[in-house]
Amino acid sequence: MSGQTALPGRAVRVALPLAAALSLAGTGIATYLTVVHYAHQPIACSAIGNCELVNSSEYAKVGAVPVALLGVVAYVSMLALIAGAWLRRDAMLLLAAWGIALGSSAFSIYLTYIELRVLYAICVYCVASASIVTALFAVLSAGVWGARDEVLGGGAATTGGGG
Amino acid sequence: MSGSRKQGQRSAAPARGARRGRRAAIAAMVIVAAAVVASLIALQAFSGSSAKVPPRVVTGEGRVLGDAKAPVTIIEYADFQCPVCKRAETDLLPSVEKDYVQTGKAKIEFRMFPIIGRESWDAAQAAEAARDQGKFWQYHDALFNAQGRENSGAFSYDELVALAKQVGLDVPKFEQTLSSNVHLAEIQREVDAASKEGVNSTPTFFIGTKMIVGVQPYSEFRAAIDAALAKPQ
Repeated sequence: MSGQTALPGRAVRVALPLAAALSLAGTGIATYLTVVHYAHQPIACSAIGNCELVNSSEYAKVGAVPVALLGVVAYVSMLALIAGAWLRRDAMLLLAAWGIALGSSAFSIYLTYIELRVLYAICVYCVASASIVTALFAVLSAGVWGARDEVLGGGAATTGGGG
Repeated sequence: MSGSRKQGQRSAAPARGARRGRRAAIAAMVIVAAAVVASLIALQAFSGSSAKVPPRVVTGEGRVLGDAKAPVTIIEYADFQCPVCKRAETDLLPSVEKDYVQTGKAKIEFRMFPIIGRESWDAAQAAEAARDQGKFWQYHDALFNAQGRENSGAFSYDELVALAKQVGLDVPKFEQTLSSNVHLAEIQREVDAASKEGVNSTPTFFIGTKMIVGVQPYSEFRAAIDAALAKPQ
């Protein structure tokens, strides 16, 4: 990748492993909700809230696509970018993951508002996913801030890869 | 000295250009993220089921559909705003109606379980006002056919009145019943009783002693109804 900029060790040691773990957890939740949606199975739900109501709502779809599937796509994309940033020490891949986390967090805030103020029901899986994506955005923001010189192209190191 | 400064300025210029480029790329990324989220929300605003409840093959009395003397009673707890309840009405119950209600083996009793907020309660009260005029099932079908996104105004006062006109109710009488909240306490009692029976989501069905939650395959309903029919009355 041309113009690739090396990440500082701090981002690689702390932010990326944490972000990878969060993406993996989010992928698990979103995959479960997607499978349940297409299999028309009831959701294994704790006594808190009403997962069935939230996930069967018209707000649980965008057109014909379940929101859970969008979640899988977003989490897997972030996981791939984070893994790429980690392995290649590439600041731009970290920045791309941050961009997806930004959009996902904004959409999560909207969905949480719908749960609380329109459906009057909470889905524990959705709350868990919203918390994960918010944490992911915070961690990636910290990573991007830590690597701001590299992200802005002013960093000392410009490599052809590896590091 | 001045030569080295000039050299420094020459090397700083491309670095500043690169920095500006990266900043523009970040700004573009934020704009794209905002545009994607806005598009998702806008797309969602236009999503919704356009399926319709098929025409009835049997008539109902009050909230009971079919022959009141039918040996098996299928109790359905539902919310007019609940999309899965609508799916039950469009995809599942027509088969039950044709195979069991029309043949006099079973009857369906509708019970209110409004759980999705204000418009669920308003729709439930409107359905009761229609029942007062002997047109519960016509209004019930009209409500499910008019279902929109939850609490979005699909069951606003005006829409409920428009549906009353559509099914041929005495509108002033309907409005009077609806505004007086005369059925509110009755619906609340029904919800409380259902909660005690273990109902906590919609739709929930009781066929004899069997409880079925959600829209399960028709084979499961058939098995439950056949089992109830096989039991000595």
